[in-house]
Amino acid sequence: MEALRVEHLSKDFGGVQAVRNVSMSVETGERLAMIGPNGAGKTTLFNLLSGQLPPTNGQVYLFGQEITHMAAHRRAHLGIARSFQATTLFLNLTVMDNILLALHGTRPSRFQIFRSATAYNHLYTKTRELLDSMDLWEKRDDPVHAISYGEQRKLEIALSLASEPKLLLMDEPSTGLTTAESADVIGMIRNLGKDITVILVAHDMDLVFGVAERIIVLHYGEIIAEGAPEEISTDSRVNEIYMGAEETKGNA
Amino acid sequence: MAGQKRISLPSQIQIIRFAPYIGGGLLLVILPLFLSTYIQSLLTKCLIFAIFAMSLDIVLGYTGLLSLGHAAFFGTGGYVVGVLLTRFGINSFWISAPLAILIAGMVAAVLGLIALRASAMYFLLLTFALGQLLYSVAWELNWLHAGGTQGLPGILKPVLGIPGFKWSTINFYYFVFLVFIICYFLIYRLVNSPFGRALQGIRESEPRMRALGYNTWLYKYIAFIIGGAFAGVAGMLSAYYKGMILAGDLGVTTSALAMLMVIIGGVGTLFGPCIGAIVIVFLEFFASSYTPERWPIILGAAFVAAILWLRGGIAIHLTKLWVKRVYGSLKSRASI
Repeated sequence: MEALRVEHLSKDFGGVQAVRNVSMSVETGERLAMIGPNGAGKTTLFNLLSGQLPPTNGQVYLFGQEITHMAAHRRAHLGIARSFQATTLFLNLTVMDNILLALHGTRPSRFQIFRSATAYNHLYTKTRELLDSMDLWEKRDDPVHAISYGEQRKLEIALSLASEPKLLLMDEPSTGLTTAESADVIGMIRNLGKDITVILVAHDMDLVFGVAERIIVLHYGEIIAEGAPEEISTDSRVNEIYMGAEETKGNA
Repeated sequence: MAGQKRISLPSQIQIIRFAPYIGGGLLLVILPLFLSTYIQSLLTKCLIFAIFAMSLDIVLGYTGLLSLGHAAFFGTGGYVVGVLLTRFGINSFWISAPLAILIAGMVAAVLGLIALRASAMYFLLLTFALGQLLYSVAWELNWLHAGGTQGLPGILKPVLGIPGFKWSTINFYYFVFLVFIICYFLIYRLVNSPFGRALQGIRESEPRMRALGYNTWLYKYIAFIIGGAFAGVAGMLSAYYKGMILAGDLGVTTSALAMLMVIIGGVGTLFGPCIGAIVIVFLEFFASSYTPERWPIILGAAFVAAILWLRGGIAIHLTKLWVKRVYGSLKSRASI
């Protein structure tokens, strides 16, 4: 079943076309990676998919339903979750409160005005599960600004998983992590159920080749190559555009 | 809440956590009995402004919206009471109070629709402009003038309908104290509810809140209305307290005073604004008994001092001290 379909999607910022006529289709349960040099439009494309930005042209469909101009919070209720490249956590709240906010976000309890935010038994179990999976349970009462950067990155991922999304958009999930922590993230994404569709943007090739079943290469906002990891790693155009700069430097 | 397991501290620590509230509450109940009526009256004013400052802190401290027009709702509450009394002869508390709260909330609902179209600095400017707009209306409209003033004097204490009850300074103090306790409790529940946590989440990172499924505009709007309604409660009490409501009660000076109380006391806490209110009211009292004409200078100096040396407000420093003393000793005992 098709989880996501994008048709002729474009985004202009003034005179700059950050995303140009992108069309793609993602099957349910697929792990898709988007790569490309800095400024290729990967994060902009993510912002169009999650509703942080409105597109200039084109359509986006989630499970057949058009969501092109739907507000970000309504997309979250349809099952889209995303993690952010720059930390956008709630720095002055505790680790626990961060998770609870994420858990309440797609539940009717988010409008509860009189009951204590911590008095939800079933959410307690869920919070524990999520924090345990990221080795953060011991830090639950610490304010987020006081935990390490690596821990913040893990919390970022835990937050995006809290809503039990159907489509998970991960923007550079392993940035700033140690090799070991990065390997944990790879393992974690691999262990996600096949009912979750994952699209990730990453520069970390271990992550991309460790997770992705299909890779899309973006360059100046356009898709220039698409295929299985083996195809992409041997594609001459990709090597030229994407890795070319480094190789020329190496050969010189 | 039977059968609910709370994600919380052990009961012993719970008791200690609430000890400052119980201590502070008892002090406010017993102490005024031994004080002069003048000081009783000052304490009444403190509590009224504490409600006002807390109501602003819902918007300013918890939601992170810099509002410089919060007095509009304070003044509205007062004017509702004044108009009901002087124009319609209604003096029952049970009619005036719900109407004051409702109309203050409704004014906030209208102004919020306009102000929340902008963010950050522009929100500040819009709330300022809208507040001044209401002020000018009250200043110009003859229907809102009486007794040769730009306001409504002669507001009597409300009729509660309790047989044999007579108002006195101490009775009015306890009446305001009761309203204060109710407001504190309601706002405390609000800021610790999922809704209240969401407001703090919006303050910290609004795009992330949207991505998590929160309609952040709606949250800000509701917070603005609730803040306005509580400001209406304070304005209503203030009108009874002073016996009048003036156009100035709607204006930027009153808004700035509340903002100062919140900043001096502690932004994003509940007892902070209360402490801020006590500090400012007593500061004003001492300043105006010695050098009344220099009160604005002293107020300005207090503001500068608070920002330079009391970063985060008095409440933060008190909490740190409290946590260090009490929790520190508990922890060391537990580890032995």
